[in-house]
Amino acid sequence: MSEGTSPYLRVLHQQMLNSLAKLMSFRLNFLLSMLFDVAAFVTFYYTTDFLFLYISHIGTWNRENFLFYIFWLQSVNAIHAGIVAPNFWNFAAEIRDGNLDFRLLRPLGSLFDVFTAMTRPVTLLTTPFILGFVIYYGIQLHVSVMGWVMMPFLWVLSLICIVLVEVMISMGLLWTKGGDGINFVRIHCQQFQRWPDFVYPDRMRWVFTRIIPFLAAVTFPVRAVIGEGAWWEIPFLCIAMIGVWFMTRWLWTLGLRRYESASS
Amino acid sequence: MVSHEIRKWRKTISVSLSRYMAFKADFFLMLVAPSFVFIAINYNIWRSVYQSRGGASISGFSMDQMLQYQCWSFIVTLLVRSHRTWNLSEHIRYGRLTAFLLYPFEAWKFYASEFIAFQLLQLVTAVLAVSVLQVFNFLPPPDIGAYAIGFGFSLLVSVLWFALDFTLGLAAFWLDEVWIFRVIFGFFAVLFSGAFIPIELFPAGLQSFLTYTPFPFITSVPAHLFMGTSSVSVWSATVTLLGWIGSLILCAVVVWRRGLRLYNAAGI
Repeated sequence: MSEGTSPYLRVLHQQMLNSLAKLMSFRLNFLLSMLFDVAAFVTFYYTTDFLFLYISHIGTWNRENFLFYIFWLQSVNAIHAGIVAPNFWNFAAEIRDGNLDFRLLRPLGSLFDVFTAMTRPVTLLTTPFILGFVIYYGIQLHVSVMGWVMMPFLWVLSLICIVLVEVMISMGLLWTKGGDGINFVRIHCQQFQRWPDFVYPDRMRWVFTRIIPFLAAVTFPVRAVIGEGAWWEIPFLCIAMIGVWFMTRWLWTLGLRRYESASS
Repeated sequence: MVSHEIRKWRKTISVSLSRYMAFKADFFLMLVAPSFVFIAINYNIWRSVYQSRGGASISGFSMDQMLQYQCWSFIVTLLVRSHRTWNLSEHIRYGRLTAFLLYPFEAWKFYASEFIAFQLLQLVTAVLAVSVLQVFNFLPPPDIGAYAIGFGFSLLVSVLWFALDFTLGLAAFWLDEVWIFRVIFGFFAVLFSGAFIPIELFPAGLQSFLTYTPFPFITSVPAHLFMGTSSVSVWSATVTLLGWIGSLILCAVVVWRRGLRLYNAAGI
């Protein structure tokens, strides 16, 4: 990467190369990582596809709607799992062991450093494959020209929103000592996203789209692409994202004041 | 001699219990998160599916039966899937296993004690969960006989899960990362054990194939025993389950012995 590139991108690039080098030195691990992604993909797909052996619709959505939604989420998660997700457990361990000190001392934004320290480049390799399915089911659903044009922006919006909400939840690690509990909550929140918002009861849907927008992060952009979204959904998601970012910054600052550094 | 051994088990279990309970907020979240997610996802999705069919039954499951099945599937999951050997691979990789090899209490006993301690907590949680589900009419009035069989069988299945988890953890003697095995197995266990979609809804060929695997024991069989709707007798299910447990323990012993020959006590 050239010197002119942002230092953050250069660091991320180097971290990806390091992870790839480590992964390639244990070949079997590399293969297993691939197998892991395939297993996740297959089980995810069949669980949904299977339900549609018995029904033609859930709510107003048919099989194609659901599979478009599922592959959209999978493709976003592939990037998330490749760059950010491995760091949540690491963050908990670093707080426990006091190793977070070293991250705070580096001449980089600490939040960036904490959540990109470990990467899983293999997962990124599956993204084009999954995006192929997104496009395939988009064609099946006759997505409009406007929908195709907006798709990349909305996809990035989904990714940013999912990452920000999970980072915000993980700020709770600075208050709880063990770390497993918060990470459990975060993983279970991901389970919610596997299904669109309308399968949930009204009150639950309201909370997880308006207050903690992790259902909105996938459902709103998908609805916008297939032309079923309300006009306010995407502007709302953008505003919610900014709110989540400020909330995360505030929790981070507050949490760091409590951080006692186990290693000191 | 025996009392001395029992004392060691009791002490290790008690230490494990204290450790689990040390981080109370963490422990509470680990218990609450799966329960909440179960109610939110499985229950609501199946309700939506039945509403989309106008309440018509699916493969003999009425809506009420399916929702009850999902409740029992959740209880069985609480009782069975403990993952208490998650740190075994780390101990092997970083050479921390050495300490366990030197203790006057064998390594497998240490992990088994941790497992028993966690199961005690899970048992209390499961009983509480059943009570709550009953109070809110998610489950019908209790059938003590079916409950006793269901809880007993589920605890036996948890030994199967422990043996499986332990054996997969031992792969760390050869591999850098073994969590992948566990997670992959977890994915397939959710799909093929009937944790979300009952096995009765699978195609006939897949159903008969699954009878030759331990998957149905992980959720489907115990859930049906709780409901009193099991198509297999509890005795034949127990004998088959014991066979699987025995095979897995044998496998774990072989893998442990071979792995120990490779172990260099300093980590990879």
